[in-house]
Order: sequence, then structure tokens, then C-alpha cells
Amino acid sequence: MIEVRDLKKSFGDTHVLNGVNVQVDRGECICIIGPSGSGKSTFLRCLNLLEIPDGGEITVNGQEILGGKMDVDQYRENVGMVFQHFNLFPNMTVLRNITLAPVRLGKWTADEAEEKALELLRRVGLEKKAQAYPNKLSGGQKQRVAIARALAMNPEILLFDEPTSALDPEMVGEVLEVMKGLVREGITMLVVTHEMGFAREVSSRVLFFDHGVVLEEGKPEQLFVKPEHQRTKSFLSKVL
Amino acid sequence: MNLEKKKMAVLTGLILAGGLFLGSWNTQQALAKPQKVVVGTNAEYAPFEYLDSDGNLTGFDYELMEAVAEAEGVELEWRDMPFDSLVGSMEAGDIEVIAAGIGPTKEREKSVDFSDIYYTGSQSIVSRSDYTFEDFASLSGKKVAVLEGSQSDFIVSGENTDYGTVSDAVPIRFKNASSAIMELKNGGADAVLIDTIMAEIYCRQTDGIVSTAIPGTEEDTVFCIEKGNQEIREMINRGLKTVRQEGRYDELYEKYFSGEEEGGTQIAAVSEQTGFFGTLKFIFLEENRWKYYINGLKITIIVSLMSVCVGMVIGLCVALVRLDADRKRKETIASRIMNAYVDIIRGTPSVLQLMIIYFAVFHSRLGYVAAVVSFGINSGAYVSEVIRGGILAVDRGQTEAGRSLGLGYGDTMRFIIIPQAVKNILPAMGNEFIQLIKETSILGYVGIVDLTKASSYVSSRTYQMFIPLVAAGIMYYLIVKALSVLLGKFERRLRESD
Repeated sequence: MIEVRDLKKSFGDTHVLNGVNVQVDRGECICIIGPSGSGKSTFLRCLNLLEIPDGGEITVNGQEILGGKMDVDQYRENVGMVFQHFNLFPNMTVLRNITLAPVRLGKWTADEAEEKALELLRRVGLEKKAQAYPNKLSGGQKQRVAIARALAMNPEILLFDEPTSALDPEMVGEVLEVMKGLVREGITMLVVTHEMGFAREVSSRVLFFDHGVVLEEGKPEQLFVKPEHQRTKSFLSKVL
Repeated sequence: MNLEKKKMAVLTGLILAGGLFLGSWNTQQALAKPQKVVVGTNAEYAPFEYLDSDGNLTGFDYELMEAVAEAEGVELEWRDMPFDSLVGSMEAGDIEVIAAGIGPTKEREKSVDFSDIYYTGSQSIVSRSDYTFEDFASLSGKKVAVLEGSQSDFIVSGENTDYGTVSDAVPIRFKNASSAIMELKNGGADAVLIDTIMAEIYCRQTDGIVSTAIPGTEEDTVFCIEKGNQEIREMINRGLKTVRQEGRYDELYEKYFSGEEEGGTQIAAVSEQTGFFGTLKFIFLEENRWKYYINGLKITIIVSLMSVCVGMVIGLCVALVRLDADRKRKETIASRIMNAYVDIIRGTPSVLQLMIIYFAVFHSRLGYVAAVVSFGINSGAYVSEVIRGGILAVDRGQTEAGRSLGLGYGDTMRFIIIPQAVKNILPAMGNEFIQLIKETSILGYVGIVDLTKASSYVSSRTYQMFIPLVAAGIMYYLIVKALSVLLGKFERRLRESD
């Protein structure tokens, strides 16, 4: 479904991605781990063109998305993103956070929007917060709303950029529960995370990023138990 | 300045020059109709020309010129402008006649034609009572206050005139006579050289000063006529003769220069009240002079409000174009023009911008529109920076979240970024409005009677230098204070909703 070949990206003199190759099948949940500065987030942001890669190819559903021939906004409707800092719109209620994009882009009519948004909120367990403003929510609640917002566009692919890193420890669980539910529903997911437990339990494959390349990849039981590379071993020994 | 910026500056200059050219071409066209004559004046020279308390032009020159026009069956269109812009406006073809108590000097003769002489005045030296100057020679090396661009200015500046000249004097130039007298009283000037009629009025009104008429300074006063326009010149001379024959001239002379007639006291307003409250009553209540303030206040508020609206629209457009260029990391022609615009406006004084737009672009027509355009353009440059800053201060993650949902740049701005930016922008915008209210006090430079100008009129009409100006200051302060309090409340409300 997603095919990335030799992806490169630099910021000035800093080479962040040095030729990343990844293949993702429909319904997979890929967890991306690695030390900070290894290019995980940049890679994820390249996938929905928040960063424009300097070189390489990205093909999604057989369509080449680099090279500027494609409608970026239309492509992004199909690739949802959940951010580390939630990025909820503070000037709108939870409900409007969710309905804004689908109504503006014609996915939902104004009449059905509220009902559909409430349905999504029920999925993340927050239907009572529909009329609240984001600043009245806890971190965990904010992130669950952000997930509901991303789901509203009914994307085939969901990108998670360290979704639990900004949360207090007691709130990590509720967000991971929601994500697990999505995995069971079969949405294709790429998750940059430091939650090794989550990666181990639900991911179909784990990618270990180091110095802007995928140094090692494999099924979680294989990568976590018998990593091949010394760098992977030393990283895992620090975080596990 | 890099090459691109230079190019833009040249381009902006060309656009401006093109506008000026088109503007002057239009006026040339308008001159084809002879039955309407455009007359320029400077209504700051009572009793020759000044504004009454309703803001209408009046004065000896005004009434005389109107009488001439009536005798000749033509209609007049009056344009009030600064004294030193009159000849330039005539050369630019904006006005055909100048009626502003002007003397027929050799210098002026190069640019304009003169009518027959309609009044002869003389110069007087006003000084503090303890010292009098007898002639021009005694002014040598002294500080002499004069009206900028007037006959006395030329004399004191040592320029060769037909009435004699003062060498080595230090001229201090003022826009109105009461400021000049004030300077004398305060000791900043040793003498004021001024028309005898005005000198006598001031001496009657103000303690501690005396005036000495200078023999041999009889100076003639004429109307100036566009160079080579025989038709209008003959018409005015013919009209002057008729007006003299019919006795209208003597009536007007009596009314304005005797100082005893009812009309005369109106010009030479003399306080008969005593005590502080008496003076206040005289300044503000007599002849409804408070009306000047009310009208001036209206102008100040209306021009400020409209300008801030124009400024916001311009500012938002400029900010969005510049932000878009920033975002794409690519300058476009539009963004370069906007950069140059902000650069030029912020780099030049607003009073010059106002005068250029008013005189050169609008040719003294549509006065308030020109003022609003000028202040709007000025404010727009500052507002655009405020808006740009406000938008940049909204977390980048907000844009990313909007765009990642598939919303376009426009929708993201409209629904997500701008509503949040407004909160950052409002306080600064309030300050901009306050700034603008005070900035409009330069409107007097283009003859628009705002609050400041009104107070200086009242000052010159009542020969009171201090109280009328302080009154205007208090009014500005009260408006600004009221606005600050409102803004403060509004800001607190905004913060509470966070």
C-alpha cells in the first residue's frame, strides 16, 4: 500500500533522512522506534508532505505522491495525523474541532455532522465532552479527541507522531486503548513511539531508525528478543 | 539595499509618478470651462481670509473676490491650502487665481501674473514694551518672528524686495501670527515683523508689547492669476473697478479694517471679561467658539475611525501576501511590492505622506477622502506588521493540524489561524488606533480643520495662546483615556475565556 524508496531529507547541513526504504501493507500497524534525532518524526511528516523530501520516491496505492503532480490537500484527506502536542483548535468546541474539516470538504453535510461526530466521540469514550473547549480537557482526553478528529475524514492511513509523549503517565493507557481498538479495526497505522509495550503487543512490524536510515526491521517478537545490530541492542537495553 | 529592493523602489516611484501625471492631465482638461474659476487661499490670515466658527471661509479677500465674481457673473470654487503651496498649485494647474493677501514681488512675477492693486498695507515691528525698533536696520542680528512665506519673511530673510530688507537677522518662521506673538512674549524672539493691521490688533489685546509702523514699507496686495491667462486677469480688473465704483469696496474695507464696526470686532475679538472664568467664557462661549472644537473633534474622530478601517483592510491583505511568500520561501512580484510599501511608509514621516497624497495625488480635491487614504495607507503598513506578528505567534502545529486534515491554506487561515491571531493582535491594534488619533493632528498641514487645527484657530482668533491649546490637549487625553479603559476591559474578557 505504501512504498518508500531511498527517501532523503536535509535541514541545511543536517542530513536527517539518508535513504529510507519502507514497505507497508494494508491493515498493518508499524511502530517506529529509535533514539531521538534519528529521523523518525521527519519520516512520518514526509509521508503526508508536512515536510517535502529532497529525494526518493513515495508511492501510495500505486500513485507517486512526490513531484507536484498531485493535489496535496486531497491526498491528505486520506492520510490522517495525530500529533504529540494534540494541536486541537482552542477556538472551537470539541464537536466543531471534529466537524470542521469533513463539512468544509463536503464529506459530511451540515445536518449529519453532529450525529457523526458524536458517534466518533463515543468510540473514544468522550461523547459527554462534545460542547467543551479543549482547554477544559485533560491531556489524555485531548489526544483522544485528536484521534477522533483524524478519523472523521475516514482516512485509509493514520500517522501517529509520539502520541503519548506529552501525557502524564496515568493518561497514557487510555490513549493506547483507543489505538489498539483502531488496530483491531484494521486501519493502516504508522506510529512513532517510545511505548515499547504497545509496540510489542500490537504492532505487526517494528522499524528501528538510526542516523536517518531503517537500521533494522522485523516482527516485534523477533526484534525485541533477538536484535541483530549492536545499536539496536544498546538502544533497547536503555529503554526496556 | 539589495538589487531587488532597488528595483522595487524604482518601480514604486514610477507608479507614483504615473499617478501624478494622470492627475495633472485631468486638471488641464477641467480648465476648459471658463464660467467657473478655481481660487486658492490660505484661511489663516485674519482679517484677510479665515474660517468662521461654522468652518466657512470668510474675510476681506474672500468677500472682495466674491463681489468681483458676482459683478462679472462667474462662479468661484475655493480651495484652502497652506500658504507655501499656493504658487506651486497654480503652476501645477490646480488653481487659476490666488486670493491670499499676496504682494506683487519680482520673484513671484516669474511664476504668476498680477491683478491691479486692491489694498495697500504696511509692515510693523512688534516688540516687548521695554525696547522698540525704529527701522529695518535696527533688526540686524536680532531674532525676528515672521509668518512663513509672507512678505515679512522675505524681508527678514534678506531677500531683495521692493520694500527694503534686513541683513543678518535670524528669522523664526511660524504658521500663524499668534504663535509668533507668543514667541516674542516668551523671549524666544526679539521682535515680530507683521502686517500693521494685525500688529495693532495684537497690541490692543496683549499686555507688554508695542508696535512700531515702518515708514516706506507700504506694500501692495494683489490677486495672482495663472501666467498668461489674459481672460481671467481682465475679468478681475474689470470686476475690481465695478466693485469700487459701486461702493462695495468701501463697505468691506470699513467692515474688516476699522476695528469698530460689528464685523470688525468679530475679527479683532477682544476680551472684555476679566478673571479666569471670564477669560474661559470669552474663549469658548462668545461667538460660539466651542463649535470649532466640536466640529474639529468630529473630524478627528471620523478621520481616525475611517483610516483605521482602511488600514486594517490594507494591513490584512499585505500581511497575507507577505506571509504566503514566507511560507513558500519564494518572493513574488506582489510580495516584493508589499515589502517595499511597508519599507517606504515606515521610513518616511507621515506628514510628508499626507502632503504628497493630498496635494500631488488628489490635487487638493476630496479633502477628507485624501486624508483617509493617506492615513489608511500609513496605518496599513504598521497594521500589516502587527497582523503578521499575530499570525506568526500562533503555534505552527495549528496550521499543520488543519492542513493534515486536508483543509486548504485559505480555510486553515480563516477558521483556525486568524481567529486565534485576533487575540494576539487586538491589544496592539488598540494602540495603533490611539496612535492614529493623535497622528491626525497633522491634518492642519493640508488645511483640514481637525481638533488641533481648531484649537489653533481659536487661539489666533482670541489672541489667547495657552488655554485654547490646553483645551484641545484635554480632549485628546479624554478620548485616548476612554479608549484605553475600554480596551483594557476587552482584553481582560478575552483572557478570561482562555
